[in-house]
Amino acid sequence: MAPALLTARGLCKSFGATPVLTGVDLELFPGEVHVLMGENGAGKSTLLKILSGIHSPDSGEIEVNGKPIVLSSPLVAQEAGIALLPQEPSIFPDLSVAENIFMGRQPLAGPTRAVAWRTMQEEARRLLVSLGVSLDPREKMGALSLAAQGMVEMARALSLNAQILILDEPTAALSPEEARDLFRVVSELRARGVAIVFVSHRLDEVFEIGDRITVLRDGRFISTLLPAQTDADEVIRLMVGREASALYQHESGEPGEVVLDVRDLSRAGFFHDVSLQVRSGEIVGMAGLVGAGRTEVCEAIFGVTRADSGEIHVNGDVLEDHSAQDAVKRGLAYVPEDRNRHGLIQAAPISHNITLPVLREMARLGVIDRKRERATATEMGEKLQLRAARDVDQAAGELSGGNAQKVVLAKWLLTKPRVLILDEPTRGIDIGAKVEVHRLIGELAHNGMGILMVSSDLPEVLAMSDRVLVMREGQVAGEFSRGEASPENVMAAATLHAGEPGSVISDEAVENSLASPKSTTAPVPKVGSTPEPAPAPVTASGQLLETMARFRETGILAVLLVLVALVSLRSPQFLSVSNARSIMLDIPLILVIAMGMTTLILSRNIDLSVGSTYGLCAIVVGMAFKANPNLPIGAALLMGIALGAILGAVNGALVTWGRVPAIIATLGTLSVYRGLVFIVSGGRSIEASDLPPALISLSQGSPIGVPWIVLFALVIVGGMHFLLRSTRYGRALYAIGSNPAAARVRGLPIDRTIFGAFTLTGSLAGLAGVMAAARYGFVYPATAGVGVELGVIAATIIGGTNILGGSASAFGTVLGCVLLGTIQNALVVSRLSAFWQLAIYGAIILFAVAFDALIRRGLDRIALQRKRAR
Amino acid sequence: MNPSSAPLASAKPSFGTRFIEHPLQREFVALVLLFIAFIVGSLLSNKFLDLGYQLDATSLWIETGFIALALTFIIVSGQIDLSVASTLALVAGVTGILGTRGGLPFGVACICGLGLGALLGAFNGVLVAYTKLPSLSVTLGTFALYRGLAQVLFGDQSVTGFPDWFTGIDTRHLGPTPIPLTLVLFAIAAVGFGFVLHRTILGRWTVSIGLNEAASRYSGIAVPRIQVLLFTMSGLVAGFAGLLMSSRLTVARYDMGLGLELDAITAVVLGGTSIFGGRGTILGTVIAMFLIGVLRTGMGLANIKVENQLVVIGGLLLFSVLVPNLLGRGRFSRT
Repeated sequence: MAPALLTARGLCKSFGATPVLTGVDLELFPGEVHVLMGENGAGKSTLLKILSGIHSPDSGEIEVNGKPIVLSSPLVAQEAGIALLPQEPSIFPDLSVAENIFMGRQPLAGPTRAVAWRTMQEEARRLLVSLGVSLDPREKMGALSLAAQGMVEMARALSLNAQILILDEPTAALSPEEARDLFRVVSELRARGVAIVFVSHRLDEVFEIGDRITVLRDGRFISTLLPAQTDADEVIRLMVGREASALYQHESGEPGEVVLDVRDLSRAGFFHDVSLQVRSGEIVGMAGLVGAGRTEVCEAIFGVTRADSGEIHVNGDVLEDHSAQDAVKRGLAYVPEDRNRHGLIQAAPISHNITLPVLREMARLGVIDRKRERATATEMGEKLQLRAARDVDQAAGELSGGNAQKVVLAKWLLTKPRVLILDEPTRGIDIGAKVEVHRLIGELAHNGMGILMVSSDLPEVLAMSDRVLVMREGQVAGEFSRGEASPENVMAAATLHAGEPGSVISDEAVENSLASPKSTTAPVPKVGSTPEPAPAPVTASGQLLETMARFRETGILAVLLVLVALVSLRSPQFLSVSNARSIMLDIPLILVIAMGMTTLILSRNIDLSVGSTYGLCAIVVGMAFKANPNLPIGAALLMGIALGAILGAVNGALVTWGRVPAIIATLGTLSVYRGLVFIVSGGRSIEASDLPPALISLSQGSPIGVPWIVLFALVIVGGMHFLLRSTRYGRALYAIGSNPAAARVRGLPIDRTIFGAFTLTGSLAGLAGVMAAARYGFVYPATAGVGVELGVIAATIIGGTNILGGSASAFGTVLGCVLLGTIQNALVVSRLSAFWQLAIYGAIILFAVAFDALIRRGLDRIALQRKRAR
Repeated sequence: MNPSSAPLASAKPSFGTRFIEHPLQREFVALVLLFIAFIVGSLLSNKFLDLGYQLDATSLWIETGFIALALTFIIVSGQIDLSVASTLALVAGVTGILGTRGGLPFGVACICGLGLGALLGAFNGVLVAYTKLPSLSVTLGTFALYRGLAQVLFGDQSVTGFPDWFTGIDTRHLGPTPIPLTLVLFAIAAVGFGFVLHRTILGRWTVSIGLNEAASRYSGIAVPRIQVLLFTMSGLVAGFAGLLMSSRLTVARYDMGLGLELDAITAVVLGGTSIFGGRGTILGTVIAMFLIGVLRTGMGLANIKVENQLVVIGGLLLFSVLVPNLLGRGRFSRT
């Protein structure tokens, strides 16, 4: 046997007082698929995070290629040849497949060291083809299915020469067809000698793909098995580690009338035609794989999302197009899957969390009776045996998983619901608390509540449920009474594709589940008879959206032409040479700053201080000329740029190092810099007589006939186009704006990049200040650059830079500036009041932001539907 | 048995930790700064200790104070409103025109103006709550739009000719006392806003939304409706401030209250409200508003020009956000 690629011995890790890993060993050999199995909370994800450098172990050692190594950061792990593909792929949705693979390492070419797009795409194509994947490297990552995104991530790992690839539940949200494609790629990598750690809950695929299986339980290493020498039952037994009888056993009572009746509920891309009933006093378990649509169904029933069609009845009342508060009023309660984000307000005290849905009952005339609130919360806590370190004033976020879940339960029990929907009620809580939660659920049902319980914990579902519904791919795929439900037939219904090779579930069990009288008649697709899934039909409105997004810049151009035509019909002098020249001279000032603003808005920042920077640089340079009329023009320009760069760097430092939100930081410096304008100048203006003719001539001509300031602007546009399109720095700005979290995981230098963008924007604003002095021939402290930031922001946004980050183009910003400059001039020429300008800027900002948000949301929805369509 | 209590009960926090973690620490810092400003001010000028002068000087910032009260709610709920000063100008101008050239009784014009303020605020709120656009972008847009509309409507003309009963509110006092009427109104408003934020359902909902909007939605709170309500309130208060200002100045112009949003935001943040939402007190805003007012008055007495004061106010805003960030506070505020 080849020597081990990676050896881990005695890994231990605790979070606070809770040990999550105790002495875990693992060996990985080249060319093996090593499956890691265990229940939720068994320590799998902690182990993966240690191996990929996200967490450091408290003790234990790791060797890679026989040499001890400390995996102190994701980058160190990456250099050691270890790549983690997290369950939620961390990608840049706005960027191409090729760039997602090579971000930060793009191939450069030529003397300019520009990103070699062709080479990069070729390289990406070759990587993908070598994995047997046919994808266009130019395609936008966000438009791909989850499966395809996973493939691209694997190609990226391969390009990093990863020797060890860690896949965290890669198939959890994939269809069987997609999962098969993924297995092909995994096999290909295995053939190349890569060691693959594969986490999965799907027993059938574990036996299909795995070379060895390691089982963890309660943070301990249990056993490593060979698939040929074991079977699903043994693996389950090792994972669960106890007989089902050790769990709380719910005793069925007599179910009463139907309290929740859901009929043909559908939501495009998530679930369709889901019908279910819950009776009073009944616990209905909902099993299925992650991504089968269970949580989405619950959220639609509760009203935090909307279903497209279907009916929901609670106690006989119809709930239509309802919100969560309507649902609560009708007696529904929902304990969400994601306790930390949706279930609790972590920073708020326990008491506030518990009383949140029933606050009205705690209050008289809107005033909260704090004594009653506290008493109610304390009473509820005692009833549920809540164990807090202090009293109910303690922040809910400080509680352990089990106690936190009791707070969520307490808050909903206070609403006295008829129907309680529980989504993974015992995920991430220890065994002791789990039994208590189970007992509580049992009591509630016994007292007549109807309970719908989503759970991926099979023993839990089987021990608790009066009836088990199984969901698969957005549909109810099976229903079993308490007597009929067994691990085999529930798993079969959740995963089954009849006749699929590699399925270890016995044929008998399959027949049982299909033949069982109560199972629903959801069609089971037969391999070979199912046609290839057709792509989701794109609606006409979808097409319109895509067209509008694609031709956005053309649209601005069209608006511009129409505007020019209309204004020149009204006032012919609009088209005169002198007027065109005037427009041409006004635009560069805004344009130069807007180029900087583009880099900032692109990366989810903003600079409100550009107008003040512009003013301060203009006045300082003007004063320099006043003091020394022979100052060379070049020196003056450099002075403006350097001062601007310093002011921009201050903004950058506040935002990156000081963690001040960009809007607040630059709102502050807006007034500080403006104040400095007055302090530095003493309120005195710079008049034309103070400025040398050489400066003024910058706005009048140049050797090639075009005014210098226009030339400056053109050079800067060219430079910015190059920066944004062809440098690693520029592409990093896109990446940060597209997904800051992913940028961090990839180790991009976020702070340095953002700091650079602020400095760049400041220096451009400084240059604009000097150009303004040349253009207007005077600098007045009270007006220089005042309000410029609005025009700049409006031009940038209308030019297509997304206010939410991730997309921008230098050319679009140029169009935005030209449009605004033309509007401004048109107001003057057509003798409309120049006072319209501010209102028009405001309207344009609102319109552009809303337009882009709506288009983007529409496109996301379409992409999602396509992705999910099967 | 009781695993969560073990790590908490062990170490007794030092005085430093206790101070940094005290819930009202930021308000206390603002109060100390206010005292320092007072002492420095009285060393610089005798007038500074003249109570009557100080009380009358409050009328210069009282409009900003009202706006800061409403803005505290907005920021605690995790949003921002940059359009308040523009709303103030538009409402003041429209009220003036309706009540003079428009021929409406001036009292009716005032009510229309307040209605307009609420409407402008509601427009912000609807855009934020129902299009899910960031309030920063929305109110940056309406910041320009509202003032732009004021500019279109009045140009560079001043609207004047207000009835006597309307003008000069800043010169009126509470009976024979030297306490200005506007200060009394402000005190009543501050108590009212504080009561709503800290004692009522609406206040609790506001805090909850600011701490965790998703969890609030999942708890059955009508988040969009509350957001619209808060922005409407912000617009209404800004409109009211506009009326106060035109009463004080006896004119309305499109450039009234230019840059006033900066003082208001500074007061809220300096008073300890977290810019990320979820935490803040009206008491802090009031202390910080007095601090800014005293600084402004003091700088005025020291003959520092209004424009130059911008450096101090802007610096104060940066300081008030930067320092707690660097101290690493707000552990749960953002995850």
